[in-house]
Amino acid sequence: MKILDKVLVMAYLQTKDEFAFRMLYQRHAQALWKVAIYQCNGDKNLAEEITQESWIRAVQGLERFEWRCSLRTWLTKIIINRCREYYRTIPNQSGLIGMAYHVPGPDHALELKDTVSLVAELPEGYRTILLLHDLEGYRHEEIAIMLDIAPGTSKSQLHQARKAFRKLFENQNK
Amino acid sequence: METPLNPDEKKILRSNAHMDKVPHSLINQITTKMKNENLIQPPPAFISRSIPGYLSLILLAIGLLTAGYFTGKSTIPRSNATTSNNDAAVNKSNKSQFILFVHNDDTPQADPMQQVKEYSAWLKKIQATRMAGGEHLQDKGWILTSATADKIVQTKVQESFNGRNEVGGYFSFEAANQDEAVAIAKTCPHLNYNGTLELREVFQH
Repeated sequence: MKILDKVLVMAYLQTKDEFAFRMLYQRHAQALWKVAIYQCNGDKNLAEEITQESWIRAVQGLERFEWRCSLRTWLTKIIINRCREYYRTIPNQSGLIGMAYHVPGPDHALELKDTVSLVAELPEGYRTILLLHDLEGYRHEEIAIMLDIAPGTSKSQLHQARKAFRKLFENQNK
Repeated sequence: METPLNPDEKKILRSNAHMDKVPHSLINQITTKMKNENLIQPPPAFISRSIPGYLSLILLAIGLLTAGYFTGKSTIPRSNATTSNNDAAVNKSNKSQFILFVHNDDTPQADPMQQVKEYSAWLKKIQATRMAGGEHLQDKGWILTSATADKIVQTKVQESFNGRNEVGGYFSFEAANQDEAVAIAKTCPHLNYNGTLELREVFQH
């Protein structure tokens, strides 16, 4: 609920109170973590670092936030941008190549082994849009803000991403 | 027509989405860094001690909201007493003003988020039919008695009241009469938390 975010943001800005911040954090922590760990390709240490820096950056910019989008959309955008900044500093890595993938557990390891590497073959942009739209349920208007693209681009990117994903999936099963 | 992913396809995608829970230690790392960069102020002693501190924060938040702090963007409307609820609508000329003081007494542990939600919803409901508002009060005040009037001492209220019964904030609203005001006060969520309310009618000149 946007109103609760507003209440907590204003309470934090007025008091700089830790409790107010923690309440705000709790509302968005899990959703942001999903994006961070996904963008960091399952690297927990990196995701923690990215998330931490993103929150600090967000808090520093809270006063300038104009509520033209939801707070979560804005926070997600910060996470994504921070990840991209990070990967730009590492030559030959887009955040997807050559990094270890997290596998949920021993029972699933065998079943998922091939599919995990399958998804890894998708370009970063496709993977991101599939996560945001098809798994997390964000709307194209929200994704457009997060990725600094037009809503129409988000739609066409999703179309391309699904197509690429299905093609890989079909080839896998041949 | 774009075809959404089917369940099997989503399962595969989800397998790569690392559905881990956010690490518990992360919030502490973040707040530590925020403290180092002065983005968090140490809480006043009364906040870290007890739930009344939480209530103060909640009332502060609601006070900011009702004070129109969001420059017209607030989703809690300022009522002009024109209303869709005709039964509750009262002729403005006949209405009295009431103040409902909210005491920071030892309310039981509760989910603060739920409290913010309940208090906001309650105030919004009242505002739908009448002028109403609310403010959070500063935690410091002045206790004046005849014994100390010649040397006024600024003191923390909760010290004077031993941590109980200090006023943390107030709501104000209009009602046709005292009975209606009491009926409204009885619906305040503060009573759900065993809190104390004090209802006073504003003297009409």
